[in-house]
Amino acid sequence: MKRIAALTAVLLLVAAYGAAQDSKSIYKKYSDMDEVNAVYISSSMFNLIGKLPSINFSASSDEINIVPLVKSLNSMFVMDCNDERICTDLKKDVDKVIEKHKMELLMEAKKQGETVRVYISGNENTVTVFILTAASRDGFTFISLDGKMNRKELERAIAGAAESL
Amino acid sequence: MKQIEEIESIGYEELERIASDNAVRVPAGLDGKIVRTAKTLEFMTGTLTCDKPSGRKKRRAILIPSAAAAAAAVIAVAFSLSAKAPSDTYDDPAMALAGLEQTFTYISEKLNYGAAIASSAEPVFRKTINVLK
Repeated sequence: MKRIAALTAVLLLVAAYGAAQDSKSIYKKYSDMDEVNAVYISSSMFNLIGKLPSINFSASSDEINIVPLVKSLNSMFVMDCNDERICTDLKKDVDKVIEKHKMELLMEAKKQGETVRVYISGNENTVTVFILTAASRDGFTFISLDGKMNRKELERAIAGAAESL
Repeated sequence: MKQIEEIESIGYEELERIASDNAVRVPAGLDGKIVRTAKTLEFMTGTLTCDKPSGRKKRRAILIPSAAAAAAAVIAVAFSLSAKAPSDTYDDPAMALAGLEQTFTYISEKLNYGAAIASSAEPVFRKTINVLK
């Protein structure tokens, strides 16, 4: 039983590592283009963020401590493009990653010509990869978070960010 | 009769002369002997190459591909590690935190799309359930 659990954990980590490597490749391919806005935060920077004196999201109801979540993150890639040709290529590359790692579609919403999709990889308690894509006529956005994130902490952080708007 | 050493030491010109000399007779059945010898040699060579590998050969047959695969894996890992990692967008952790918060806010907005659509559909679901009841 322990062996199966260890094997599952190793497989999860390998899958997460693979997806993260693919996100990194996509980032390296597109981030230098003038038509693409890109943000990358490394695990070292997440460690530094975790040491900041106050990194709580101030929600209306209560303060949400995101330190554990931040410390569990390995990397974050954000890319946003407006050029139609580049957007098409970027979307194709992202779709390949999602398909390759058989990521679970968590949510799909269509509103005013924009299609938002959220994919995750992991298990009941842990999210190893979180990918959000937002495609519209005006552009394409790709967000990738990877690490060993506690699912509840991730949900609370996202909900907290919404409340602090 | 000439000895093998003597035959080996004969030059091409001498061999040509002997070959063109009609007085020298080729022994009967020499052709057949040559063909049989060639076939025997061919068979022996083939048998030797088709021989089952010895224990050492077997080990080599397993070890060499394994070593090659291990070397390839090491090279691949070294290459992936040495591949230049992208540089951080922010130098300041506080700025990075602001970027992270902005990203979470964006994610939250987009997730709310889905929640809003689901909420607007809820009365329809309830009405349908009531009708079915």
